[in-house]
Formats: sequence, C-alpha cells, structure tokens
Amino acid sequence: MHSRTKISLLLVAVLLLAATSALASQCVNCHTDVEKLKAIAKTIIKPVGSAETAGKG
Amino acid sequence: MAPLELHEKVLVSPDFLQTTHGEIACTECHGGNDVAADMNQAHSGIRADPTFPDATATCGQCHEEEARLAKTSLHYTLATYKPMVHQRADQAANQIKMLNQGMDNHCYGCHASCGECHVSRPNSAKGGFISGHNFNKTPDQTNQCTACHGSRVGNEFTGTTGSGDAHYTKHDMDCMACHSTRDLHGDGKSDHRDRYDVEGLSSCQDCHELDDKIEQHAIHGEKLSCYVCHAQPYANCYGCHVGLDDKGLAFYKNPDEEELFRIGRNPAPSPKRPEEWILVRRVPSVQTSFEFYGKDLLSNFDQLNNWKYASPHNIQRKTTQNRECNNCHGNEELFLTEDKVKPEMRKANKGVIVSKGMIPEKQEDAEPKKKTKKKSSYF
Repeated sequence: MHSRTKISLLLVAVLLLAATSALASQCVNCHTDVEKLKAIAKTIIKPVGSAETAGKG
Repeated sequence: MAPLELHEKVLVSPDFLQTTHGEIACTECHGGNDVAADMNQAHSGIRADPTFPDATATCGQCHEEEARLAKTSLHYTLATYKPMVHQRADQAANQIKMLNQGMDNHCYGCHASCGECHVSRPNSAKGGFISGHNFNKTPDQTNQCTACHGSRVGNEFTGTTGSGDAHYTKHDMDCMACHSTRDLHGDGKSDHRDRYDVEGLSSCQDCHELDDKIEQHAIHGEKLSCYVCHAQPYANCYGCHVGLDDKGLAFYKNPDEEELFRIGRNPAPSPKRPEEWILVRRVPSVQTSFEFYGKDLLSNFDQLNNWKYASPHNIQRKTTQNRECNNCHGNEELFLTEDKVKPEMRKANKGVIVSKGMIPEKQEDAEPKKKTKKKSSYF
C-alpha cells in the first residue's frame, strides 16, 4: 500500500478512536452527576413488590 | 438494610474511574449506545448486569478461572433447586411445565452473579451499587450476603432474633471470615445434591480442634454435630405459598414460623458428615406451595423428608443444652420425635425421626452444676 494511503488510514483510525472515546464518556458524565440522576429519577415510577407478600422469605 | 434511592443505585463514584475496572469503557461490559444523546436510546440493548447468565465475555476476560467456576457455582445456578423439587412433583410433562413456571417466577430470581456479590446489591434485594460501582473483593455482609440470607441466617447471626452468634457478637467476624471463596465460587462440579455437597466447604474444624481436653468433646466425640451442643433455637417456617397478584407481581406467603430446636438422626452419615445426631430444620414448602400454578403439582411431596440437616448460625460456647447433661439426656422436647411430625410426613422423615427409645438416657449420676452464690451487696 502507498505510504501516503497508510498514513491517511492511520489518521482516520486515530480520529475515530478519539471521537468514540469522547462520546463513550457520556455514560460517565450522566452517571457521576447526582443532580442529573435525581432529576431523571423523579420521572421514573419506582418499582414496587406485591402487597400480598407476607412472612419470612 | 436501608433502601437505596433510585439515583443512588446507578450513581458512579469518580474514584471508581481511577481503578482498573473503571478504565474499561462502560459499553464494553454493559452494551448500550454511547453515541446517543437521548437516555432511552443510550440504554437501548443495555445489560444492567453483564455478569449474568454468563460472565465469560466480561469478568472472564481477566478472571478466567472465576468465570469458569461461576458456571457451576450454586450461588449462580441454584442448580439443586429443581432436582429437589421435582422429586416431590407429579411427573406428568404438563405438570412439570407448570411447576417450572412457578419456580422461574419465585425461586430463580434469587441467584447471585459476580456483580451481585462484588458490585451491587442482589436484584432480589432491589439492586443498586453499594459503593459507586467499585468492585469489592470481599462481599459486604449487610448489603450482599444477608440481603438474601437475611430472614433466617442473617437474623440469627446478628442477634436480631435470639442472642446472635458469638463469632459476630463477640469477635466481630462477618460471613466471609468463615465462608471461603471456594464456598461461594464453588468447586467446579455440577452434581451437587445440596448446598452441603460443595467440595472443601468451610467447617468448624477449619479453626476449632475437637479437643479431648474438653470433657464433653471427649465423651461425645463425633457422635454429635457441633450445632447440637452449640446452636440455639432457630426459625422454622412452614406453609409457604407463592403466586401472582392481580397486578401480575410475584408474592410469597409464609404464614407459620416457630423458633424450635430439634435434634434428629443423621439419615446419611458420610465422611464429610459422620455424626449420628444432627440438628434439623423444617423446610417452608408444603404440598400445595405451587397450587397457584396448578393442582397437585407436588403430589409426591412425601417422597423426601421435610426436616432437613440444619446449620443454624447462632453459635454460642455455652448453651442451654450443654449447660448440664440432663438438659439434653432424657429431654424428649429437644428431639424430633414422631409426634412432632405431621402424620402424612412421618414415612418421608423416617430417616431423621428419633424414636423415644433412641433418646440418650438421663444421666442418673450426672452432677448438677454447682450454683455459684451471688455476692451480696454491702449497700
């Protein structure tokens, strides 16, 4: 493969990797933000267990 | 155990990100879509617990042996449940199918994956990170072990019911002080009959020698399991029924519970458990436990005993039964005699029932312990 082509492909790969890494941190940006999570939690219906459960499990 | 708020359950601690596990991209284990701005799209295809039902692709990338053992670990698979329950079942295919549905709804939610022991509360205890997604090598007694093993073992161990276990109350030992990694990760075998079958299971003798210098040890030797002398009365539940309520939510009802102490005969002495006398606990299930799912599903309920080998976690050095010989000898009340077993279950429990003639005789020449005189106050 032509060396210029190789360098171009390598550059694209590096850019893609950088972009992916930056976007992946969106998980972290949300999940480390207490206020953001609290705001989301307010919109979620809390799951409940059956009211009929009785006795030791 | 205080409930976690919804946001706390998924709140990742910044210090987790500095750890080896934290340096791995979230999506590599959890899946999902890390380029989507919208939460629902970001969570599309997500695996909240990527360590269940198979940890090979996640934990197994680095912890190959642990992930391999997890596949046969009883905490992971609950593999002894179905064989045991099926022995009590009507064997017709449609009956087994209905029974399995019931077991899937009520029994199999209680497994423990890698994540549920090392990262979060178990799902059956409503889940949630216990330390910001940090991976703890040693499971947490309150948030993990007794989150599932709470109502009998946990309460007895901590003294929520009864006087507690001296290992905890006097020596500050938690579950993992005795229960080795092997107990939890398993032995790699998949033919266990019950939870006591795990090879190399921790035992009292790991730390305590059966010392003949102690008179009662010399006399009783291996005739008694340690629990017979050192445990206290323990919870015996009865009459458990399961079903789905009108909202489709699973429930269980365990109406009867008694604190009992019952010495039974060892029905199957083995090199691991050679004792002649053991403690037995009544299992909560009854013939109609799954009747919500179908009639007569457990029509062969009496094929197995329902008083089973017990290892109550409420050990004390001095107990009522070891205080004096005749607190046990000749004391019919402590033994699982036939009158204490329902008539329809006497045949099934034949191996553990103690006939009155078998009860060790009262010791006529046993000297009662001298009562020490209380010192009188000068005031």
